[in-house]
Amino acid sequence: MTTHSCFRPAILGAALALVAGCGLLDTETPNIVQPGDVESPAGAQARRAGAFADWTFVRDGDGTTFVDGEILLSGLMADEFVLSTTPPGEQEIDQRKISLLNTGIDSLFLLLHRARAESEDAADALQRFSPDPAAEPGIPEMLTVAGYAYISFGEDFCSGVPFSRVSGDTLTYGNPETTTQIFDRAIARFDSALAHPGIAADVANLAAVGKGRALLNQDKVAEAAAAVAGVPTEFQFVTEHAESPQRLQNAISVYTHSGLWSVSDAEGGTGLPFISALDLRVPVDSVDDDGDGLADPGLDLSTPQYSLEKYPDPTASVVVADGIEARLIEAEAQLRNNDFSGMTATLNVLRQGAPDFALADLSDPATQAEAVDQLFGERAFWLFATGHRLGDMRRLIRQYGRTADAVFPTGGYFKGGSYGTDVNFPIPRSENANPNSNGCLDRNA
Amino acid sequence: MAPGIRQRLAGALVPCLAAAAALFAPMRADAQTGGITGRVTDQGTGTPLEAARVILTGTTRIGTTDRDGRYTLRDVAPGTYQLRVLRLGYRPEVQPATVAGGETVTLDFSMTAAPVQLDEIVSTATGEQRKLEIANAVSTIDAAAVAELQPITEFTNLISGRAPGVQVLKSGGTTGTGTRIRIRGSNSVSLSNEPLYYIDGVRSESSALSSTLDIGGFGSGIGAGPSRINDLNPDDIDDIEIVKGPAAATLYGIQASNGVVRITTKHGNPGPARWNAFTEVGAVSDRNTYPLNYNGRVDPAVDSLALDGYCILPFVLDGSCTQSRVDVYSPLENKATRPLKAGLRHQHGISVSGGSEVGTYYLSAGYESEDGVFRLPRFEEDSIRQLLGAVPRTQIRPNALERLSLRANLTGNLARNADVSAELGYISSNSRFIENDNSFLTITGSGEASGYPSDFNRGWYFIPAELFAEQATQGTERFTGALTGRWRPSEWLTTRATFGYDVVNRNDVQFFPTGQVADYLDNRAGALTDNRFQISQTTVDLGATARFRLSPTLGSKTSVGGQFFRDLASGTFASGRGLIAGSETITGAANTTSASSTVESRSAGAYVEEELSLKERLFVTGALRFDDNSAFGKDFNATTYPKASVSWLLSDEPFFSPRSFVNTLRLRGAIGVSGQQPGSTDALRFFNPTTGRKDGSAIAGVTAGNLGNPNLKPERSREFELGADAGFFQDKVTVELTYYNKRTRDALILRPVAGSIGSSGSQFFNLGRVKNSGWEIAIDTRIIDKPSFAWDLTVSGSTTKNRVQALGAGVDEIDVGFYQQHRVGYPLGGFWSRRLLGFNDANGDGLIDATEFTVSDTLEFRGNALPTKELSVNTAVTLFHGRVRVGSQLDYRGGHLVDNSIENFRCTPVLNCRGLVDPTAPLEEQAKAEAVYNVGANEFAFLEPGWFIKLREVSLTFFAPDRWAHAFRADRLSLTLAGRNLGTITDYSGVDPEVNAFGQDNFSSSDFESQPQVTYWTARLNIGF
Repeated sequence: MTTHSCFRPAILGAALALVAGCGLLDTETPNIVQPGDVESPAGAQARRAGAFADWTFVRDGDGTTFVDGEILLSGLMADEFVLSTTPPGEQEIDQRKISLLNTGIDSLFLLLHRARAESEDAADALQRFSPDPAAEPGIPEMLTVAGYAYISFGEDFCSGVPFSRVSGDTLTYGNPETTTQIFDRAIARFDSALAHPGIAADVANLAAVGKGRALLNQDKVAEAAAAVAGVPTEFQFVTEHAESPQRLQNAISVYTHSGLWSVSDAEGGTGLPFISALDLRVPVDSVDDDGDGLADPGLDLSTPQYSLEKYPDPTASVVVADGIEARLIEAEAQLRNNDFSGMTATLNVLRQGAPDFALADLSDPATQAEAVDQLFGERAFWLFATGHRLGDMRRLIRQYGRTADAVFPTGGYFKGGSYGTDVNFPIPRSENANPNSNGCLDRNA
Repeated sequence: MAPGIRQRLAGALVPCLAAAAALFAPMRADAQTGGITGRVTDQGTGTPLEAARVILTGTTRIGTTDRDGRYTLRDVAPGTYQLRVLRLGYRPEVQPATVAGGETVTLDFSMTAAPVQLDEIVSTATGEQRKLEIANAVSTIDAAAVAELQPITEFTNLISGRAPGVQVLKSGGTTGTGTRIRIRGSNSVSLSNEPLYYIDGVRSESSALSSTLDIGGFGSGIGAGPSRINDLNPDDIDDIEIVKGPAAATLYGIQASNGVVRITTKHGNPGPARWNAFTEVGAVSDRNTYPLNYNGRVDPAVDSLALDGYCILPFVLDGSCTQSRVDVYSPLENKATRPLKAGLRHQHGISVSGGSEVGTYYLSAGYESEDGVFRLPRFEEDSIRQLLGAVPRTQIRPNALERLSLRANLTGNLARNADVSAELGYISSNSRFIENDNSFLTITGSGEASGYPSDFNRGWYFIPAELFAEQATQGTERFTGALTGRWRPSEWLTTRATFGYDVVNRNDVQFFPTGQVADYLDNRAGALTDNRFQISQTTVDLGATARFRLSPTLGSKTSVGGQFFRDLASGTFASGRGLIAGSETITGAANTTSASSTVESRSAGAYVEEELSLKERLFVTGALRFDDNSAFGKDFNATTYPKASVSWLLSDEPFFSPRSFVNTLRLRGAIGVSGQQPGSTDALRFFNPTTGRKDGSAIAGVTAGNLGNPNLKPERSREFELGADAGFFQDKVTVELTYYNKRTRDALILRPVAGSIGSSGSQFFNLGRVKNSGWEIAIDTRIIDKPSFAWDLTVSGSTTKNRVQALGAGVDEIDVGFYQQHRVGYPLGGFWSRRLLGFNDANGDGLIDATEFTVSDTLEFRGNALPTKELSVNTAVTLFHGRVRVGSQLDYRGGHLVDNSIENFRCTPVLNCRGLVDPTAPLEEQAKAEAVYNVGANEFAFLEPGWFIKLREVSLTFFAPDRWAHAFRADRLSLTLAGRNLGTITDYSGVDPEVNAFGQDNFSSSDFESQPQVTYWTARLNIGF
């Protein structure tokens, strides 16, 4: 190369730098919100709204059928729903044989963490940017949302869930935590929320029930009852939905009314008779177009399809926590004190308080086993399709000495093959990107 | 739509063509200093050769022969020259010419037919070059001839089986379905592996999948969607050059690491107006055999009816039921219900070309229409007609394509040393799709995963009338324009400037008429999606080349240039659900949603290249390219790509024996680097807007979008290739052999982010390394060359070995598709699953139970998902003194597996595959069915050898005697009868190994409710005036 030609690359490079420097390579990115845009009071409120929306989304799913949501997935693994369609990934959840590659569980894990992290980040942003953080109701609200996210991890997933975080460009990976530690995190968030002077009344009740629920999971039943004592029976906190866009639809309604998933009835022999009990707390409907006296099948053409009329349309709200749950926690404390009649009386008060359901009074159980059945049966029907059942079934094993086969659907699977042995969701393999994680610490209840 | 396009064609175009032809009638140019004129003919037949290039060596002057084979070079300075004549398919000829002032020298040439020649001119990033000067294997396809003589139904047919190392992977047989193209394998883990396309020097929109229609596949816009490159009208294309890897594509800069496909459209030649017209009529048919559905029946006197139809062998074995019989049926194989019937294909085109020394023109218009193979069964049509009075044609024929293409290519000689050209193309198309590939609404899935007629829906899952009532359409309006100016300020310097703009306006509409479609989700309440996009690419390309003679034997060529590219895609998304009956607009929908999107990317680059030539037989080239791009991370600046190459024409050396049977031998070697840019926002950390509801009101907030990576930079692919080109027996046989070795480092890995971070699910890093290596061979020969009988044979083949060398610390594997993973030490997207280790009918009952087979405990590597070997044999026999030509193409692909997911799915959870139901099924089939039934479909896959040999093309052309043509007042007349996809040999047990339910996805591959390839029969009449 001659001296002259040696200059050519330099000249070209310089020209290129000039071009870049002149803004010729600048582009518009109207689709996205840059981090600096949310570093403000309004930005903090936007983060709060986004976290709340994402929490609703991961709990209740959406109408696009791409995200099932925690309530549906945990209910599918439990005895609330059966699969009336065909995707193998969903079948393995129903069948309790969940692969580490299961995309539904992978998505749930990610989105739950997103709701958890976003709510904690929103609380932090509100603390930094609110004109008066002490009076900012968003802070305890976000802490409460985070608490519920932790409850979801503790009730649905195996022991060993890590909690990582991102700060600026830095990712900090968490270590695996036991189920007990996870509920400790939940309780800490609820306590922080309840201690905040700006907390709204409904959020305070929500946090109280959440704390009671977390304590119940730690087998601290008396403390749980104490936590919810102040919650009025008529209290109700719901997540809301809309017809449009589809992301805001109630997936539980969409799925059961579209032949995708059906309400189950005594699934696997051990499941509760949610249909045949004809209990109006779990209202169902079916279609019999062919007039054979049987419910027409779902999309798999074989499973009788029962839609859940508790959520009659995609706009139906979903209860996160209510006063009934508070009373049920108190009833469980009575059970632990062997006050069976007191427990039944508490349960009957709830039944009498719902005249539309036309529920007859329960009889006092004769044995502790009957009492446990009665309490958990009442919880199952009152709290149907609200994301409580899987946690309760695990508690029956963990706290009441039942075997998994006696609690979870077992034996031959109605679509062929047999039920597996899973009693919780595994940590998906994608979490292996966390150098501190190696999956579940154990798969026990 | 159809009448509109046809009216536009008839009413506006033909007069325009005629007017333009008159405008560019031959004009006489004044002679000045001197000139050369003459005629070029075929030595064997004496027929004139059109489009031969006449080069005045040592200058930048190039002429082209007209239809009579005549050429003229005016204004030639007095002196002695070498005049070289080149034409594709002929051996080059050289004659000396001495030009005196005021005189015109006549030089005629007689050319001998020969296969591939090193003197061919090919287009490169720096301009046109002789193939001899380029040290890389560049495949050139004579598209004009292929389109006229072979059954070409879309652009990618032109490439398929005609270039070694280039794999054309069509996703399915549905009309309008797109194609994946891989050149020398896959380089990139997470970015596109599709090549870049240039049309007449302008970078063009060529998305392998260009659709937001939710018509199956795995997610919206994935599945049987179209590829934009198939917009092009094959009859407008003159030739295609395929630049295969970074070693050759360095100067194309960012995004060129997957290779570059350069498309040159047809141009006019000096001479009177020449009209060409063709009309083609044909049929598209599905000759495939679909699997039967097995249903185990019970005797109601013995068993509960609950298992009737589902009395599968595992139930028989555990005593749950007793089979009374096995019903076997498929509505896809029942003549009365089969919704597949030959569709009509027809296309018509007219072009006029000509010009003078002042300028040339090529104007064309083409119209194409094709009905896919789907057709509403007659009795369903009658039922709807009785019920509603009429059946929309869109329901009778739900899959169709209609396309109008117009082209105007003009060149003008502004001065002796300056010319300008404009290439303008317009395409208007309307496609109508049906659902395919993993959807409840596919016709194939409805037939393959269903029951027995007496049980439900006459054996369908959803009946064709409901499925075909859905309308998924895509309309496009596309304009591609290139304006190029060339100025030769001196004999040693050429400059060029090109400005190009390619814009596609696309409208994706999906409509579920209220009450008429399948009862799936809430579709029956009526739904309409209307998404509109504008996607554009702007190209500015400047370049200059200086040629010097440094000594009598040493030449120098220096090229410099710069480019600017802008890609912009913007769109609006609107949908409405809950339509009143009869409504076809979102306006009346009960619920509506909308969104918008804008994505922009810009890049700028510059290059310098120096080529030294010694005695016109040794060429040494070195080059550097610099690039910057808007998508790079903020902590990364411009990048540099170098290249170097050597081409040595050994056979021109004195020591090379001229009597050897090897008469031409060239050795070549090249090394070069190219890149691949990240997505436009991949480097940025950002949030996405989101919505929710609270306290009875809508709320708007932000949610995690992308983690970003400020250090993001382009992937770098470095390739070296070594090759030899040899001509045997006076170039009657040419062989091109190439070895390449390509390593991609800083490969962009869309690495899964641990879910516990609580942000986006993945993040780009420059962490990966991928290696591709392989061999390519092309053999071109005329085995027999007699006036009455000639036999041409072209063989092209390649092997590819692909390995992931690194994915970054902490990443063991990345999952893709159903059973595919990227893993270090294995091919990208290889298949991994548990394996059936063995089976044994130990108790001799003729059935395999759960204890009589074994499956590996863990996932194992099973094989490649993409072919690693391909071989194509193109042959043509010419009979009766050129009156009849018979051509064919055999296409082999192998070395890979196909995931027969539909059979897997039919076994579990559908429970209607033969292995699970029929006690007479072969034991291996039973064992596989039992394995997936017991192990689960997430880990046990039906992976089968995917090799196949297809009789891809057969054609018979009759060239009518001149007197026949004259009877029609034409100059020439020919008729071609042709077929495409006429037969398959394979071990694959599914319907067709050449499908992909993931459409044009980067790696994911599967056969799941996919429409197999279809057969085309066409008759084409060509007439020239």
